[in-house]
Amino acid sequence: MRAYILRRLALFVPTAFGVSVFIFLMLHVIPGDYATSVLLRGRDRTIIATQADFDRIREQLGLDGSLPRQYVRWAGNFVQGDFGESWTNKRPVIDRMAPRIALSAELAFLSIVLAMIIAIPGGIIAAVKQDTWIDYTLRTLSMGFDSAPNFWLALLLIVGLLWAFDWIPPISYRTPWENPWQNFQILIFPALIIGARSSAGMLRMTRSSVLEVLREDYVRTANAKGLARPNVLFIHVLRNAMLPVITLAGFEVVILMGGLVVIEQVFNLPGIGKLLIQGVAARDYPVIQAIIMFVAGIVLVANLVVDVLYSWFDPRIRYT
Amino acid sequence: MAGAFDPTKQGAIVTTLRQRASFTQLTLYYMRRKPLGAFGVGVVIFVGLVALFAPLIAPFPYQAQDYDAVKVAPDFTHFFGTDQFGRDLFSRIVEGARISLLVGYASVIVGTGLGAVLGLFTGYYMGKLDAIIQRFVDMWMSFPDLILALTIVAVFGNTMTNVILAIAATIMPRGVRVIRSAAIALRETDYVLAANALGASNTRIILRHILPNTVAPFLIIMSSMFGTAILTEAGLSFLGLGISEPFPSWGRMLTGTAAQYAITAPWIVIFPGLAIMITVLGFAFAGDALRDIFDPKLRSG
Repeated sequence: MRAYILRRLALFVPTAFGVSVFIFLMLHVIPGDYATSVLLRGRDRTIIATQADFDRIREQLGLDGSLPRQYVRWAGNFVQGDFGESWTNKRPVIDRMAPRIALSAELAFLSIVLAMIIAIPGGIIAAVKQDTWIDYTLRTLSMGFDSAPNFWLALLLIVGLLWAFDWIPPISYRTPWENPWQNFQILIFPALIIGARSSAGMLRMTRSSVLEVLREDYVRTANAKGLARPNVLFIHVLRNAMLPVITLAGFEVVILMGGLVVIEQVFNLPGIGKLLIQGVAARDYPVIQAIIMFVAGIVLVANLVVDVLYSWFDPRIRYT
Repeated sequence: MAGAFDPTKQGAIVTTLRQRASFTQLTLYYMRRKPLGAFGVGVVIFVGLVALFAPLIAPFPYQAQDYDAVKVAPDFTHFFGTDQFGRDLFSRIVEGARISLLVGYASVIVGTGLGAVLGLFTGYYMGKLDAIIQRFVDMWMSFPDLILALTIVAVFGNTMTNVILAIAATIMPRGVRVIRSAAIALRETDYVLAANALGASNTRIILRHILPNTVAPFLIIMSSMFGTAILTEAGLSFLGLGISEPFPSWGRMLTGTAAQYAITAPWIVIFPGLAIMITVLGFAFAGDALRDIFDPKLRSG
């Protein structure tokens, strides 16, 4: 087990390195020079700068020296939590991100929990009731959630709430420590939208996985020896059927991150996704860079965790 | 007649046998066996025709603003009503099909095509290069689709080409994975070994023996990526990073001010979303059916 984790970690390092190089280079392919675009932010968008100005700005932005040297400096700072300075308000990027990470993390957590609450029982029911109207309804709904744009569902949900209850979620965000009830009211609906989207694939995966295991010999044996149906399901079927679902849950993290960006925009939540869009709108590259690096880091760690979990559930993996 | 073996005659027999199951019969057969798939293919064809003949179908010019008919509810003049500028929503959605399908097809073809070429070669040759490229694929896939696409568009600008390339970039790694694993399986087959033993060059083996056998997985990954591409485009447009005005894009019809009118004029929000959903659903159903027909091994449940 330890050897497997070490081997998997050894894979993690080059991937993380590649991601950081890619994000670093992104900054260097911006049409026009990075320093020029800073100077161009002057009032009339003309360059009235001397070579000395360019050099000074390059130095401030960490753009002096050779490319590898710049990378090492940037990555070194990054690892120490120094994500550079935002262009729009000259504050450290980390200060702008930190308060928002909590919100996005809470939203992501709620979404995953909701997705699992919907997907796993739903998938099991669909599998057990295969080819009945329950199965068809659940599968059609899951295909629908997969196909509808999440921002559209969010808009419909807001309109629906307003129309049915004459109520919309509170406008101003409160942390769970300030006001847990208001926090819950704000986050539950966005989480529901993101979670519904993630649950769609998971539901179908759970269903087909359970169906497969239901046909196994040991399940037939368990049934034949007169084990009660719930016992068969929970002891023999679920344990073995959950493996592919765990893998998929890892992939869902990627989709979830994308969902955060859009849904935070729709519900006007001051999270990481909203900051990314603000950064994009303002062409604030340090902010964009830091957030993408952060998101990619989370996804990489999630993949690592899923692989390790998987090998723990299924020892065969460790030896391949 | 009787007597010598005649290869041309035999060919003829095979042809007649093939023709016995005519195209119509085959279609009907699959329609009965896969009603959802048939529905999906129907939607795909329908949306394609709408996009192709958009100027003929749309009753109004898509950008025409009529301030005497602002936020008109759906009726027989404006099938889907009008938006806050008095533009006919039906015409805009019909025109929007062009953008969605164009971006969808172009990005899927570029993305899966590039992915397939990479996957084919790395899967066949394996080795160090393959290991390196796989790391790149892992890395690429650790960026969420929408975030990768919006970063590319944000850096390079939101022209039509950039939007297509950005979405293609999100699709490419999946093309690599699927075609690579197909190529790895194929290189172990007896006929590839035989071709190798006969002294066929690697290029010949790839082109003659591996490539034709990856057509099925290629079509499957293409059809399954199409919905994702359309959704990514809609997401980009919604965030204001899609193809810019004056082209009507389904995603952008839902952005910004549309939400304000959602209560008083819900049709402004409902129809563009429905258009996206039905199109994506159609491609998903069609793709599933295609997968079942091409590759019975992948059949689920």
